[in-house]
Amino acid sequence: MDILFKLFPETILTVSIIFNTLIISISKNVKELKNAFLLVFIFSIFFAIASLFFQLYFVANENEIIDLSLILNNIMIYSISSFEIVSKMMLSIVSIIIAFIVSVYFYVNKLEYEHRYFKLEYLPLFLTVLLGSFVLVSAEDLLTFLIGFELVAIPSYFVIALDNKNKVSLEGSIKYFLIGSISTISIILGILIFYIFNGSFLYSTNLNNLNLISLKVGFLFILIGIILKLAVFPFSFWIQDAYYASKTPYLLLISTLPKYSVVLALIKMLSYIQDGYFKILLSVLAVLSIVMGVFWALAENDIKKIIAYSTVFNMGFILIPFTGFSFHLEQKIYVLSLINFYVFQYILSTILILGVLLYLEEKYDTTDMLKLKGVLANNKVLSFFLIVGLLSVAGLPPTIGFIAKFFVLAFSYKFNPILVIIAIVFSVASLYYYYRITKELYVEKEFNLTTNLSSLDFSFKNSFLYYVSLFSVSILLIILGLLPYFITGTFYFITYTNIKF
Amino acid sequence: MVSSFYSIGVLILILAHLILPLLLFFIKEKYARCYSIIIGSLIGAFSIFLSLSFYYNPDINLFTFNLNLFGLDYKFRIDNFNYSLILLNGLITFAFPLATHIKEREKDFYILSFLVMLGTAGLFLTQNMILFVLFYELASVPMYFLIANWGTLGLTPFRKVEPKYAAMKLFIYLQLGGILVMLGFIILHSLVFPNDLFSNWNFSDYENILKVKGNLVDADLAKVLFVLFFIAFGIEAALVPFHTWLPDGHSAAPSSISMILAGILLKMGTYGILRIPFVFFNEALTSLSLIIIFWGLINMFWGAFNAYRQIDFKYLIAYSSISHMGVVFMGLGANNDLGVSAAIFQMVSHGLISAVMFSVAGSFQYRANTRILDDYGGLLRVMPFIGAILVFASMANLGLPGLSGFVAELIGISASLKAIYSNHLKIIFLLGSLSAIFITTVYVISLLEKVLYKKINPNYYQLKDAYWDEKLHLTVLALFILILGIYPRLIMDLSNLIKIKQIIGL
Repeated sequence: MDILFKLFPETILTVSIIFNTLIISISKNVKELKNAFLLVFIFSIFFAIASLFFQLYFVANENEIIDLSLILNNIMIYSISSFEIVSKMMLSIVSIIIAFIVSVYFYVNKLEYEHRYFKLEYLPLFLTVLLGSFVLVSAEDLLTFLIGFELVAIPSYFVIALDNKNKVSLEGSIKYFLIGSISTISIILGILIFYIFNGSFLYSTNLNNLNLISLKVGFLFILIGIILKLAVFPFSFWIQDAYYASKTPYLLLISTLPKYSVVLALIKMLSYIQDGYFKILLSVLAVLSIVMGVFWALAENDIKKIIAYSTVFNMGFILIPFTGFSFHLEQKIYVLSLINFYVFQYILSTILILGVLLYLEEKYDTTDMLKLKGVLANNKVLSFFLIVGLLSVAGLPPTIGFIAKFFVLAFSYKFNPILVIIAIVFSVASLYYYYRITKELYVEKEFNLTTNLSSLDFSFKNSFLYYVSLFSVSILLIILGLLPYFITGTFYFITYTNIKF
Repeated sequence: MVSSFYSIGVLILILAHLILPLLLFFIKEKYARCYSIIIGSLIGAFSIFLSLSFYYNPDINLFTFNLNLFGLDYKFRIDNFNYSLILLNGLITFAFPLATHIKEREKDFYILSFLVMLGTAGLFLTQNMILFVLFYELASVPMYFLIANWGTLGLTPFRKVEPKYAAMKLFIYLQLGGILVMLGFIILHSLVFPNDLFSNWNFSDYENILKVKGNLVDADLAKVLFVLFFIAFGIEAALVPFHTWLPDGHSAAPSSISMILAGILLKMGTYGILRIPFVFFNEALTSLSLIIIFWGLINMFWGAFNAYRQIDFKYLIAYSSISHMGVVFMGLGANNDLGVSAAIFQMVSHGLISAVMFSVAGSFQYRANTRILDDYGGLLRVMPFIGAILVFASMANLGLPGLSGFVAELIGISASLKAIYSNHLKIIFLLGSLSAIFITTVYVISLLEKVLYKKINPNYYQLKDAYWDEKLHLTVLALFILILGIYPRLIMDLSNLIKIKQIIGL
């Protein structure tokens, strides 16, 4: 296979990052180049999706297993099989939705260039995170994994600090950077241990066989680094500060793509592990995340912090299906596609909530629900979006969130019934704080927030595209929720046609 | 996929519940009520037509709609379990827009309440577990908004009940029930199809497998599962220790929503008990029969006893609802021919009676601006029509022969007596149920005395009698109470255990 065909999406993204950076550095008057800049961005992701679709078509239509992977002297494997292609497609779709919402809000709608907190550098950083996610998903050895991990992490620190006049944001950025460094150090330590004992970086040689206690410790270091990034319970102390510090357009980036890609990398690693200890460890972490996520969120008034804790809760949910992980091929693929699907739907619902929050924060400069009492009482459309998003995050029908939670629980019950029952009980408890948001924003009638900070009016006419993009996301959530096997089947059967590991 | 005219009718019924209310988005605010009345009547008439045509032509294959989309069966069916509830659902859909006195944010109100009706209709018709849970939530989630947004203050002898508090309580209780149902389905799935990754979740698959391989679920586990499902659905059906959401929710809700709550939403729970644990674990029920009959008796007694103490009109009706649901539990627990008929008959009868009474309570509240029983008095003189309807519904409530309440209580109690073998227990049961009926008579008569016959409050002289909309729906509902009372075969013929066993193949 031609190397350009294999790496076409990554190449497109790299070229467009360079191009976008050049535009920013050479242009004195960005206002004129703004639309060209946006065009490059959107088109590059579209090209990436198109080329991925072409690769997928190629891979899924052959009878024998076609391997597009790039192998370099047994040091590095950049794997491209159907699982990676599907995951990259979903990552691209998620990023194009985010990019579209943010762009139509801040580029098309707002006329002036100097926004209070939104900076143009957002888009190249965004593309870098996407590129890093691609590398992370395709990584089949620890070095490539590390490169992808850093490519995802470093732009995230900058993104939070883009709002550079706000001290909270700068502080959050530094905190996030410190936590990120610790996780990187931990991962590098793990990689070193593996290299000393096995003399190799490949997943297949390193992770298949964790006989020695040192190798177990090495994998534990890598696992700690990863779950520090994912904010699974004992390492989730940073997440509320980082989320609170970042403005909503930046939160749309850091709460979605890094989480999704790191989860995908984690499940690829865990699919090699034969050790039973890690299964027990992961189910304990799952229980703790679910319980603590709910308890922390119950007392919280800030919507961003509630989203942060609901991330902790959902990361616990993601770890549940690992209890049913086995090397029986169908079951293995089912677990992989189930987790992939779960994260995908969770991120879509988070995007919908944050999309509404984008408007609220831009207009009222707060995300505290007690200060936002009754803002949506007379705005039927936005409250519809918010309610659909919250229903989906809470896992209630007719949305896709219910289907995902139901399938995760139905699959895992026969392996670990106690874990499933705990998850079910705490799902009911989590409804309380999701419904508090709707209660304060939609049901309450008194609304006294007179300080309208935004000078721009936000009528239906000049924000048509913003409404359309949120509407399509919410309709997608409902329709996929009414056709449960459509999307899970898609994930499963495409992965099944060309599975390599 | 489509086998007859009626199967398309079933599909149309579901789609009408979904699409017609969504058109409300394009209607002006001031025409919202008018449009809702029209579509409510259309949907109601069509439901009654389908249900009656099933009565005259009881062949479930004609009434089955099945469509397989991406591996999941979207299967809806009218059968002996649900045709009477579809009738009830149609009547309530017809009645509630006519009984609504809401004046603000009307469009939101009607859209949300028609969503509830979609949920209930879908739950009664569906034959698939995933869709069952979906419709369950669709019926209970909008309830939160309906009560919290348009609710009014409720009053017990001890405390005031804010609508937001009541709505949250109702929501959490119903979610607990829903999630327990989901847990039950998951356990059932892991027992019956342990290695099926993309299973169909059809009721019929589970029925067939549980019937063929009776030893798949051992007796103790079957009992545990029965109790799990019984409590899960019992939360929705106001089983006594889990009933406290119901009076608060009812009294805080606007009256037309109370009609839906008492008329249909409670029946979701009892229908669920009938459809899932009763059918799936029928053997387990034989050993639990006595417990459930006496549980029903406790429900009946506790509801009646509490209704007697209430000072708020709607609280009184709510507790009388709890009392009446006891008969349904008794009938299900009896597990014999008469028992199932009694349960289904009581579901329909209680749905109609409580809908009428809540509508009357709403009319009084709209005119006199209070629901405290002691504030009323002599209203029969200023509102003869509504007063007469209240007397009629109260008589049906206490079980006057010739009206539907009598039939249900009579066969419910006799079925339970047939199922109890010990003579001592028979006497205890009989004493308990008769004293519950006696308390019912006392509170109903004292209600009529307080509201209709006392000395009239001078402020109420200028109050108007029923308008055309109230007259219309109250007359229709009262007519059906009368029809069921003098022609109970409309439900008894098809809803007995022999017919049901033929369908399920028990």
